[in-house]
Amino acid sequence: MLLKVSNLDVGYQEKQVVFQASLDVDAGEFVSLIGHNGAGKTTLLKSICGYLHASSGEVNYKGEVITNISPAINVRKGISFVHQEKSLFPKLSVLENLELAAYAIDKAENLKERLEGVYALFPILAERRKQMAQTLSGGQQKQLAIGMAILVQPDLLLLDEPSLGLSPNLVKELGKALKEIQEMGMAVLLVEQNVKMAIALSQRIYVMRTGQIILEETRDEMKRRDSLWDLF
Amino acid sequence: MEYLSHIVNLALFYVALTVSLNLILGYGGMASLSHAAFFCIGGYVSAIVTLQLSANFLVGVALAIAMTMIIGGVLAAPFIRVKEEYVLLFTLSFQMVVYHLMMSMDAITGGDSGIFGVPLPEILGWSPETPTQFLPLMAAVLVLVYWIAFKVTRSPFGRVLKGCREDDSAVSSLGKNVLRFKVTIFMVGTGVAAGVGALFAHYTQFINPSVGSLDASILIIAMVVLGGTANLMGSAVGAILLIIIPEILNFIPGASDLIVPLRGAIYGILLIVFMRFRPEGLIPEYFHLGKGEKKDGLTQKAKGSDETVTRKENSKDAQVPQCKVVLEVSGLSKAFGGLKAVDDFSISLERGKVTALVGPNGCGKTTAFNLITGFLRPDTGKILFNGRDITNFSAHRMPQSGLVRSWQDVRIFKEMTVLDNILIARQNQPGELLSQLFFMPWKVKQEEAQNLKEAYTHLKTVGLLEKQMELARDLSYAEQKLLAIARMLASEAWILLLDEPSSGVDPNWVDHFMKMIRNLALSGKTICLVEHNLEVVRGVSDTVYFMAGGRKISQGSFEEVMADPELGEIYFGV
Repeated sequence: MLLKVSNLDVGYQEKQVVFQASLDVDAGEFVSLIGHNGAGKTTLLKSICGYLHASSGEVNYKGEVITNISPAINVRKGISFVHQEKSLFPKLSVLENLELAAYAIDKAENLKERLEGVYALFPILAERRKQMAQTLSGGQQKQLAIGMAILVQPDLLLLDEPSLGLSPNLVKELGKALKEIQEMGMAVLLVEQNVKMAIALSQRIYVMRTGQIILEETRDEMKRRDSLWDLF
Repeated sequence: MEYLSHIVNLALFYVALTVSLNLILGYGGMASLSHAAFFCIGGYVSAIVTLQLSANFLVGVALAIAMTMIIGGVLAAPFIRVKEEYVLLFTLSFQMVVYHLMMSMDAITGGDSGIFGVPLPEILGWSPETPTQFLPLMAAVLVLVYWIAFKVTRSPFGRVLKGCREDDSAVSSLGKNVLRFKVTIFMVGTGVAAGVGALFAHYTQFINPSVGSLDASILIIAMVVLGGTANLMGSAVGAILLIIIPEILNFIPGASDLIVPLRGAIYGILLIVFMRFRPEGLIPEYFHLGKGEKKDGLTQKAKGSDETVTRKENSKDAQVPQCKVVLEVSGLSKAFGGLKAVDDFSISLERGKVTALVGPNGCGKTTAFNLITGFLRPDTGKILFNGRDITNFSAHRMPQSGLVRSWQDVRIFKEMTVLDNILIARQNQPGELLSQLFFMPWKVKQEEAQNLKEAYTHLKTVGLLEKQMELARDLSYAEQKLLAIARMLASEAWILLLDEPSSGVDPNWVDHFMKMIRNLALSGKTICLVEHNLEVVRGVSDTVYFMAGGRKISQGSFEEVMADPELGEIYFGV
C-alpha cells in the first residue's frame, strides 16, 4: 500500500470539515474522490499533503506515518500536489517555473532529462518555455502546473480539480495526459467535479458527503449505476 | 497625580489617532505613512488661527479639520490608480514635505522651535488648566471619535469600504464608485487626526514639527497593527499598550547608560512577542465571530417587520428595459499589442432570453465581457443598453444602469462574512452616503432591514443560509461560486453576464442552477453566459454564439451551432 489514510479529522479553527475519513491508494493506481460542493474533498486532500492540520487520525505513506508533516518534506518523499487555483509563479517564465519546481529535490544533475520528460508529455511547454507563465492560456497554465508537479517524478500525485475552466477539447487532452502519467508509474489521487472524466480515468472512486466518505466503488461498479445523482 | 492624568490624556490622544488611522488602513486598505503629518497640520492651523486672528478655540479646531480634509481629499484622489506600494510612497513623500515645510517656514510655523503660547481650550468660558481638568474633555472627544468611527464602519458605507480593501474591481462590478469611498474615508480619517492634533496643540499650549515626524506616523501604524486592523477596540488596546509600556519600563532602576538601551530592547522584544503570537493583532477583525455573536437583533427585525418598503429607483441611470433587444453590441474590437483579442464582435441580447457564448479557452469570451461591462475600453464598436449608448460608461455605472457581471475567478470578498457579501450588492443604498448615515439614520435603518430580508431570500436560493455568518474565505470553491451568483442576484440588475457559472460545482447544483436561470429569464431578466458545460448550454440557452479567435463564427440554436463542422474541429478536437 502506497498511501493509507485512516480516520482523519480535519477542520478550520473550531469548525470540523472532514470526519473520520479513511482511504487508500496503491502504487501506480488511479483513484478519484468525488462529492458535492463543500463536502470536504479539497480539505481532505490538503491535509493528506500537510497543507492543513489534521486533529486526529493517521496518514501513512510507504509504511511511514506522515500525519501533519510539512508539504516541503512530503514532496521530497515523493508526494506532489497540484492546487485547484493557480499553483505557478505568474511572473516567471515557463522554464523558470519548472526549474523552481526542481528545487524540491536535490537531483538537479539530471534536470535536463526531467525537463525532456515533461516536454514530451506537454510539447507546448517546450515551445513556450521563455514565455511568462501568466501569459499562457488557462489550459497551458494547467499543463505547466502539472508539469511542475511531475518534474520531481513523484510516486503519488494529488490533483485538485484540474479540469476547472477548461473547454471540452482541453479536458479531453488533460484526460489523455493524466492517463499517460499513470502509465509512467505514478499513482494519482484526483479530486474532480467533472465526474465523467474522473470515472473514466479511475480504477477506484470514493464518494464524499458532508465531510465523510460514504462509498468506495470500482469503476465498473460505478458505471453500472443508472444515476449518480443520489450520490450527491 | 497630574503626571498620571497627563499619561492618560496622552494615551487617549493616541487612541483617537489610532482609531482614525484604522479607518484608513484597516477598513480602507490604504497604508498611509502621513498620519502624524495631518495631526501636525491640524495643530498648526488651530494654533495660528487662534494666536494670529485671536479666534475662538472651537473656530480654530473647525478650520483645522476643514483644511486638512481638503488636503487629504486631494492627496487621496490618485490612490485609485496606483498600487499599494505607491500609496506608501505617496504618503511618505507627503509626510516628508509637510515636515520640512514646518521646519523651514519660520515666519509662520516658528521653524524648529515651533509655536509657543497656544491658548488653552476654552468652551463657554470654561478652560481646563491642569491635565486632570482636561481629562473629561479628552474623554468626551474620544467618545465622539469612537461614535463616528463606529457609525461609519458598521454601515453600508463601511461594508463597501471593506470590499474596496479586498477587491477594487469586484466592488466596481457591483456599481460602487471605488474612488468616492476611498477618498471619503481618507478625508474622514485625516479630518479626525487634524481635530485631535488641534486639541493637542491647545492642551500642551505648544506645537512643533517633532509631533508630526515620520517616527510618529510609524508609531501610529504600529498601534493599529498591534491592536488589530479593522477592529476599533483593537486600536484602543494597541495605542494604550504602546504608550503605557515605555512609561512602565521607566521604572526599571539602574545606571542610565545601561538601562536606557535595555528598556529599548525589552520594548522591541515585547512587540515581536505580541506579533509572533497574535499575527492578526491583539483583537483581530473577526474576534467576535468565534464568540457566537450574531446579527440576531437584525435578523429578528428583518423577519419581524411585515411592512414592505417601497423602493424608489433613485438612480438617474436605472430604468426598466422597454425594448425587446435590451443590449445591442455591434462591431466591438479590442487589440492588445498585435493580438486582436476581440475582432468585430456583435451580439444582441433579448429581454427574457438566455444567450450562451461558447468557444475554446482564449477565444475572447471574457475579453468581450470586460468590454461590455466597462472594464476595458473598446477600440471600436458600440454598446446600446435599452437604446441608450453606454459604450464609454465606467465600470461602476453599468450595474447602476442594470447590467451586472460575474467573474470566472469568483472574486467574492473573502475577508467578509457570507451575509455581508450579499448585503453589499444592492444598488444606491442610502447608508452608502455619509450625509444620510448621520442625518437620516431612520432611512438607512429601514432600507437595511429590507436589504437583509432580501439577502436571506438570495442565500436560501443558493443554499448558503446556514453559513451566513462564516467568513467567505472558509467556503469551498463551489460554495464561493454560489455566493458570487447570489451576490449578483442581490444587485437587482436586469441583465446578468455570467462567466463560467457552473465550473467547479457539483452536478446536483448544476441542475438546480439551470432551473434558476430559466426562472430568472421567465421573470424578465436577460442572461448571457460563458460556459463550457454543454449540458448547461443546451439546457438553458435560447441562442448560442460560437466564438473563436476573437470573432463570432456562428450563431443560432444549440443544435444549429453544434452541427457546425468548424466548431467540432476547434472546440472538440474531432
